[in-house]
Amino acid sequence: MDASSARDIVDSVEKQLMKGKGRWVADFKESFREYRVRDLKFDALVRGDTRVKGFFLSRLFSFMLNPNYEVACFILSLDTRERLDEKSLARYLTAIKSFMKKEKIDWSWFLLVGTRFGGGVKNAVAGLSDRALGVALVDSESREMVNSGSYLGRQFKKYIKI
Amino acid sequence: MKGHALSRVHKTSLAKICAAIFILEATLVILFVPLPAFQSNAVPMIGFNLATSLALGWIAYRYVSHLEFSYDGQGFKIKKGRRQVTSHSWSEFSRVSLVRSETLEFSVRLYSDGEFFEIPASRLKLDPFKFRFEVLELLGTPKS
Repeated sequence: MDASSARDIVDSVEKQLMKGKGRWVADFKESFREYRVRDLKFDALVRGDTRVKGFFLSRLFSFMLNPNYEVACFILSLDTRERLDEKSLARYLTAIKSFMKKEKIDWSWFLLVGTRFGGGVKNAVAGLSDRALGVALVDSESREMVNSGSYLGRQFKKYIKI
Repeated sequence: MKGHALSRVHKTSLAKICAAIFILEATLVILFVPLPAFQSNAVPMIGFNLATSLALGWIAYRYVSHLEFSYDGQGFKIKKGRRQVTSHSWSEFSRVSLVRSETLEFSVRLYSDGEFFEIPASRLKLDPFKFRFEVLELLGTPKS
């Protein structure tokens, strides 16, 4: 694997979100690159909300039925030599939760792109049941995705093409 | 770094201004020209209306909303219409983001102490994703 394919996935997911691919879940409007949370750096942070805009009827429908949740998507690509273990995954998740609390984010997606995900990390992600955080691991070689079992984790797989 | 200068016509804005002038002129004709006089001179009047709305639209567009953007390694300058000129140095800003408006137009947002300034990348016909990386490099943040 070369690092550029992982970066290509990061760029592609960011572009999809910013161009409205995830709009059935949330409308992502602002994207930051190289975003730091505590001492951890994410490749991209894309922010938005669930109040989808449009013409009159869509606006009215959205205003009447959709709660206006603040949402975020954190994207991280791992270096070819980097190996993610359960402990470092937990550090990233803790940083995201603290950011969500500080910035009043109602729910988040967290996408990890890399190759050397061990079985322990895959099991840990698949077993996550946090309703406010959907996590997905993407193998940049095989393009295989493992997502958390929560509603948000399943939605990520449904709307974002890798 | 080599300087860049962009001055591209934003066709949607130009079309909107021309259409607004055409509708205004047509309304004036409906209100003040008697129907028999209009019926006998319909083609030349509509032709005149079209020609003047295009000419006045172009003048109004250049005067009010045409964007000229230039930048180099030190900073950038945006001129909107004939009067409004804004210039900033890249060093004034500490954070960059890419934002999408309700009309699906992208801008590069530059943050400075909680305030921000937006460069309308889509209106300038720049690739917003590539331009954002260029701005990140100009601010001294390496591309991922």
